[in-house]
Amino acid sequence: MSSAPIAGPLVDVKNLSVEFGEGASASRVVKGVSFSIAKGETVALVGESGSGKTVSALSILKLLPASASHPTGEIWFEGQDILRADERAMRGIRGDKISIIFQEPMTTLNPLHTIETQVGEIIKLHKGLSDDATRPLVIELLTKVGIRDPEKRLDSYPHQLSGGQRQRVIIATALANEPDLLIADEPTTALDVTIQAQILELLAKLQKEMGMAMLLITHDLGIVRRMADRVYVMREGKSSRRDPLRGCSLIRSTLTRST
Amino acid sequence: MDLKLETAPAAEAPRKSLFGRMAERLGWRLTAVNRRRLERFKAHKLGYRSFQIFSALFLITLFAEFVANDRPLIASYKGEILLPVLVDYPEEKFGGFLAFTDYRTPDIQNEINANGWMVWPLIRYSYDTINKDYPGRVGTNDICLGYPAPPPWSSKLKLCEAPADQVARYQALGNMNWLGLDNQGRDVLARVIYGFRVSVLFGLLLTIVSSAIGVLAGAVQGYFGGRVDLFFQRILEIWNSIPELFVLLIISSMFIPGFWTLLGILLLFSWTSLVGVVRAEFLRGRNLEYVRAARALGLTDWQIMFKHLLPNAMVATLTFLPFKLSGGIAALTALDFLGLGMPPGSASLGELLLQGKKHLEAPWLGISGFVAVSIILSLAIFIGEAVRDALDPRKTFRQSQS
Repeated sequence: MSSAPIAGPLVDVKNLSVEFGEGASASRVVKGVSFSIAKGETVALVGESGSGKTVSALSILKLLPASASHPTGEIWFEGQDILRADERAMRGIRGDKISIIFQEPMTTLNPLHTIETQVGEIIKLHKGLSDDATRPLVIELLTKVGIRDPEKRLDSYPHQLSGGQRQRVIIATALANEPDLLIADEPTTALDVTIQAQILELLAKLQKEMGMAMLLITHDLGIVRRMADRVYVMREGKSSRRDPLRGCSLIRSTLTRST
Repeated sequence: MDLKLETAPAAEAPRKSLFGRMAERLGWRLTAVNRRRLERFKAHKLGYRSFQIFSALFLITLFAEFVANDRPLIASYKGEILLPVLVDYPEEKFGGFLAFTDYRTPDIQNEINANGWMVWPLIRYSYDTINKDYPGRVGTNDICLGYPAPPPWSSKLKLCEAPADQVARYQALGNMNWLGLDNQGRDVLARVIYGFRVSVLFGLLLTIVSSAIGVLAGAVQGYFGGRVDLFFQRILEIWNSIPELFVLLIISSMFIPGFWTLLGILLLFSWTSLVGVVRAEFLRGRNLEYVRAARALGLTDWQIMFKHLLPNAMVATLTFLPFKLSGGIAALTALDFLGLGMPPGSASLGELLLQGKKHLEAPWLGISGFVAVSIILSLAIFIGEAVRDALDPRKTFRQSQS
């Protein structure tokens, strides 16, 4: 393939494989995965632990450690192959066009900086605004993600917030620049059940408002059924596409059979 | 039961120091942790007192020209106000012919006093002023002994024969050499004051520059890890195994040493001490979740290093600084003592100690130097201990629980 499809999907991952290590000791953890995400749609990537979900998702942002390599594959985003993009181009994409939410809200925020600093940092970085200009934007974002009294929260440190509030702040940071794609890597695993529902609701609502696409990585099939338009199941580094409603029962049967 | 809930102890408004108010004006805010650290630093009696004394001494000696100088602070001559401390007036102004005025010569003094007045600094000698009025003291066998001269208040020996006006000048209270004269007739107290300034400035500069280099090197190694780390660690091992003292001796005998060359020579070896600490902090920190998150949000490596990782490493670094300061001062003094330090004639505590060793018959030289050096070093060490205790995380949490 020589050029990217213009009207095609937002992100198109083709035959992606990921290898850790070099030479004889190399281990291939993702073996020829293909999936695509259209504008505004929610795609779920499910699979058991170690099936390569997170590694595939991190490849989209090129956030894998230096020991990882991609023997095969292409990731097309906005007409360029991300796997061949340089670090500078990647920095323009990360946090601006594609954002990611990690699963640990307790450790994803820097304990030494205030909420305002951390949310504002991203806006300042990609839009080049001053402190005074970012503050109203930060307050707006915090309101959007459902934090009460955002003005008072600006000077708080992460340890002064609850887990759910922290995840909301992280979502605010990820959405600060209205990305085209949000990768949510098990966004609710570390939260308790009631908060989980709230956070998912919030993500769904924001997705609709901003019209962004979402790649949801999870092993919770209940979440998949509620939110995903399409599902890709990953097993041992390979993917297969399923229709969500019928897919779930199918997945359940194959997974239970294998274990 | 007397269960009285104490409402927020933070509500009692803390007395704001001048520094606190200044910081507030500048828009700095201390975080709760840092405020507690500052409190604990102040609570460390010995360390905080040492810090105050050290700051006061440093401030005074920074303005050494106004404390110990061989020219008046301010003078009035024929209705004109002169500032000899700041401005070089040619001697022609006072009826002489030299390019610079020596205000200590009797002629000039008489001339100014006849046509106005002058205010002298506390000590009427600079570090290189030779007191030519000292007539010498009569030693054993009736020999007249020259320099070094003991402090007038400590010597029981009679002054040698000299013109009456010279002796009068030597004995005038304002001209008193409180700590005596060294072997070239220079006032010891003035030299101690200027020497203190040079030592502390040298130590501070060395500390700041070498920490900056060390932190940068450690940060790069720790953050990038892998081959970069491996490569630089080997270089450091080789560098650290070079016998420092001998190299210093060789280099300082090749170059004509001055303040800046000495700083450079000592920098060659002193920057390595912080690398390990900072490297360890960065190695630990680079895999933290929030550092990965920062990368995912598009920050550059340098932004991550300085905004997200350096603050973690700063605590460990700060703890070292006062000890590095004392180390730098000791190193300069040692080089001066060996005669490989500052150029001859400049004020230096090491050179004073060397004189003290050469002139055992003049104990005021050695004692002055020893007392000055030990005061500086002790103050720096006490400050260091207080800083270390204040930044000790175990104590931070123990206190916050109680």
